[in-house]
Amino acid sequence: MTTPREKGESLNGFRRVVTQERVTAYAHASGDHNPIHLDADFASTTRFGQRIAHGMLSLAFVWEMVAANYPTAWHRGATVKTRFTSPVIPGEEVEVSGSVKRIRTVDDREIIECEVAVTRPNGEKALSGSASVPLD
Amino acid sequence: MLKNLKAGQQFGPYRIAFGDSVSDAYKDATGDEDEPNGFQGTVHPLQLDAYVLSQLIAELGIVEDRIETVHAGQQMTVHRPVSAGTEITATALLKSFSNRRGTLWAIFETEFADADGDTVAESSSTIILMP
Repeated sequence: MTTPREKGESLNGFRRVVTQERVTAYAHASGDHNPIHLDADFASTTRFGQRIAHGMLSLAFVWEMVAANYPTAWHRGATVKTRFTSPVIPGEEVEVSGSVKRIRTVDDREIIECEVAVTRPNGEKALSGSASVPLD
Repeated sequence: MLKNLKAGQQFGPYRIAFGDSVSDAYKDATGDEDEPNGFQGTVHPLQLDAYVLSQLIAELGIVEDRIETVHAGQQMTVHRPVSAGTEITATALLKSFSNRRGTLWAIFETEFADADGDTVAESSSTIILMP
């Protein structure tokens, strides 16, 4: 995999199915047992009307994409900043994507700034934001 | 608990040390076994953040009191990778807490430090609570 470092270049993204089993596994692994993710009866009383996936699960996908595209740089000052804008419903397949928006130089260090998103099957963004990755 | 929250309040410190199995469980829950995730040999950085969030959620009584919440935003900066088993200390600060038309907006800032006190990661979480 090549490292995207040109403006307009796409990051290597991926698609992932967010099953309820994955959501449950995420709850156990993260310790976040909020019933809105796990309890169908409780979730039906919320504004969403059904269980939703953890926003942090979608964000984990973004970090995975950033780490895979910048394997030697993600742990040297990379920042991912996102807003959660629409809940992922268990059973949906989401698209994890990103593209280089600009490159700037700070103290002789090249910093790649990317736009990142997780998109639901209906086209709504589950989350969107930016990733900033200082390169060597 | 919510009515006693004030900006400037500190939470933690939380002592974290994810062993291989706990680290792998997180990567299994988020990843795809057919694709390398880039975190081989290290903890998924968001697992640190997720752990602290779960602690905050518990301390605020969100699950126990079944308070509806929306996770509005998240920011994290990683300064160095964390290997499985490494001891990390996390401290969280309630940076701001406001009431907007009956919903409560809380912004937590968290710092993760290694045994030498060096910062390995920082994060910010925006949570909306609807008690």
